[in-house]
Amino acid sequence: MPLLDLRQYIEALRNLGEIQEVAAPVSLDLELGAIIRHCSETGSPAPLFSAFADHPSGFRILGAPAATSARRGLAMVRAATSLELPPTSSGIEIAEAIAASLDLPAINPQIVDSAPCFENISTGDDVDLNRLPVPLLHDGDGGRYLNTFGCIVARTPDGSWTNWSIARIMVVDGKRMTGLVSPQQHIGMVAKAWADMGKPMPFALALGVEPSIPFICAMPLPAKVDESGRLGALMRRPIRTVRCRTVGLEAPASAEILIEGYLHLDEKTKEGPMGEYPGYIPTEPARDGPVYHVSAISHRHDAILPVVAAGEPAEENHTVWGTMISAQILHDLRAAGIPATTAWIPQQSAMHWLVVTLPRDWRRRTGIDAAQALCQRIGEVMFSTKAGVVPKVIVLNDDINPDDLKELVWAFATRCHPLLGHAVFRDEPEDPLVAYLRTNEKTAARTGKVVYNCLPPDEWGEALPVRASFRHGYPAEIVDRVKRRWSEYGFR
Amino acid sequence: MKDTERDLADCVGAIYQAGAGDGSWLDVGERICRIMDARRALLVLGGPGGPRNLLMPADGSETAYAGYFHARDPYAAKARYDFATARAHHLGNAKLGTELVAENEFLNSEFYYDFARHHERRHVIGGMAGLTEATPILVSRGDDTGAFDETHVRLLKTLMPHVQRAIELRARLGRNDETFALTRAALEALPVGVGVVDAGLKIRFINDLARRYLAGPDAGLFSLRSGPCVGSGVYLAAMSREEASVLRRLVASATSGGTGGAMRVTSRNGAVVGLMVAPAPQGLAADVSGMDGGAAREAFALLILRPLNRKVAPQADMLCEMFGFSRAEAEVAVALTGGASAEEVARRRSVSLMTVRSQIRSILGKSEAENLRDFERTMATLGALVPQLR
Repeated sequence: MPLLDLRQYIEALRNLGEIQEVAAPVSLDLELGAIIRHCSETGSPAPLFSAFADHPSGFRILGAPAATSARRGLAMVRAATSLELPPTSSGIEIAEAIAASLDLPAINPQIVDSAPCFENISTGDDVDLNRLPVPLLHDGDGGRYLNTFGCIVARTPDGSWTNWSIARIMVVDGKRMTGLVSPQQHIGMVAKAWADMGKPMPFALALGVEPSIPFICAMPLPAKVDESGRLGALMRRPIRTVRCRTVGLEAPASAEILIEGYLHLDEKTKEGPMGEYPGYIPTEPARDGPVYHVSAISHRHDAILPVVAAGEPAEENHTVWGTMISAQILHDLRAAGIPATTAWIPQQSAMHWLVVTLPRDWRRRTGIDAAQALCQRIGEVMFSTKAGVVPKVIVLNDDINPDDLKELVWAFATRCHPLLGHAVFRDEPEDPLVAYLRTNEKTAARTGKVVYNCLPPDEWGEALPVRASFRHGYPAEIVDRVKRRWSEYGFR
Repeated sequence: MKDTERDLADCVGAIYQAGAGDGSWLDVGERICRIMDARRALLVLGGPGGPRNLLMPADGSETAYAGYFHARDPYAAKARYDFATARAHHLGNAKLGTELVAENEFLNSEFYYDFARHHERRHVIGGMAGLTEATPILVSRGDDTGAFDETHVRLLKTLMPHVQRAIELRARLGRNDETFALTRAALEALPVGVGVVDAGLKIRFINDLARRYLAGPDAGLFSLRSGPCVGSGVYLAAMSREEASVLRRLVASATSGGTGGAMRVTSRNGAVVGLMVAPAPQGLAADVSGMDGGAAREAFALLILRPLNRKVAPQADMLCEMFGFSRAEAEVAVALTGGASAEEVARRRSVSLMTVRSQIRSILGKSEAENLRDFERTMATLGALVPQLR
């Protein structure tokens, strides 16, 4: 059954044992953030908060909406359920399904007449962001972040491109917000197109949308591709949208909370810092961010705000953004003739590693003869697109499962010669949030990237190292015999 | 059972085709399983690489049976006993497993406990065939589909005479074993190193000379046991990256419709080996890789290895035999091929220059060479036939 809004998603998670109701009042000031962090780090069920010690009732918050689960075989159950895939799907399987959808024709959204979010509408002087339960998530954040998992809608002045994206947005006061809007981001490109005409950019911020929408917002699609159409192709149905009340945009009709207004690139206020996906709370001072002026706030009765407490893995940046980048890169590599078995960002790498695995006959399939040349090609394909945000790529044979951290660490340690075959890219665009960047690199948003060659020596051709493990290092009948007789040996 | 008579007739046809070498025994296995509602069928006959089950593709179950459990199979033991004691009575007959081996004995056997119950061999029907030894057909099922009954026995009895004749036909034609053995023997006897590899340089065959070369500590080429699992095959590799790249290119050409080519491989001790890579003729590839009729035909490359920087002259005996040289003429011919002048040969042999010149004229005449340079070319060609890699 399709999950058409956040409430249906919560019910689906509840049936899977992935929801924890929290009725006890919690403080929006750090306590709620700490609970969500702890849930993310321990794989606990997603907390659904219904009472706040320091905020009036009338709203709820869903924490860790797509974090991982600690339950065996169900690590990615929330992501899989969001995309209506089997709950036992692995991250790699989810990425494969998403990559496959990229070759399907887009299904454009369907505009509906009304939506539940218009049950309560405030416009003009009635607009007050302080009525929303906006948490202070980390000790050291520069403000309270309203948007950590919502959909920002923006459209170019000529109407040819409607962009849906996720970027953090902080409340400044009752009528203003600020956030990260960099020129490299698609929202930055759209905003610049409006600014070039001397006009602010109309925006809609849809919070608490149907569960698949944050995934497509996180996907690094090429510029000028509408996310809504691609999501339609992925979900095999049109996504329902509704006309906003004060701006000329359509926003996801499933929103629990819908905020409308105009983004002024030329007006600045202090933004950040905020604990982010690399796993650190920045110590540098706040930077200037553009101002979102709010013209309308609409919300459902008892509306639910989803909240991500970004930080050390695994949280939604890793499970959602990481999966979508993996899928896009997998698709791009294959389209470029590189027969990747998979491309996967291990969640524990906090978006800093991407692993590409290849079959042993990659030379015959690509026409490329040397591992170094292959790594160079992979880097060229990856780093030339928006998906190339991951700075370190590890290239391995596909006997390694990149989703198995024990196997991955062993393979990277033992198959990577420190000097041979790597492809180094010295000056590439990069997300300034990458953890280790120096100040000048953050300012320039450029740094070096590398593709690590972990393939066998070129002289070996298609031969692979023989693994000295129980599974690989013995004849199949011995492995089978030992497994069958395990309890007979006295083991339990 | 579905359209049984037609299926039986088709199966009989398939049995004779397989026996004649024009069809696939795997096809026979599939048909027997379908007719009998069985999961596995077994007919172990000798072939390339030793005895193996012709009726099922190689999988973990077949490997385990061939590697160990065939010697523990109580049905096979009973067939050997019956064949030895009353061959005429049992040939062409079929019986339920419980008539061949007591149920208790079977269920308490290592064969059942460690193997049969995990590999769809809980219930069995055996049909006797064989020439000089028992080669029964055993058809089996797992516990989930229940035991066979007399209907199934009758069906197998119908097939057994045809199986027996097909086995006889196969033996007479001797296609598999003899072709395989002859091909290998011929390749082993060649005085050059010979190998057959697939497009990924996985070694499918290598003769003794080539094996010795690859095992040499200074060799420019080597064989490499590949993973990730044990048993993933052995690959041909080169010590030098550049030579490995050329080798891959030549093999890619030879296995994709091209002509291959030749290259030089340098050993660590400076020795140079000439390597010729050419498309392997299909018959040769099938023979050395042990493919049964009907199996997919993969493209292989034929490799021929020969040292280049060691002058090898044919032996004197060989020259006498080939050209009718006298012993003295043959020794002069060998000395000339080694680069000696007529004067040096005369001095070494303590004969006059006139004698040597006379011998050279005779050598040119008998070998039908126009001059000494032409004769040296003939000797170089003959050198290729001399064992060189030992």
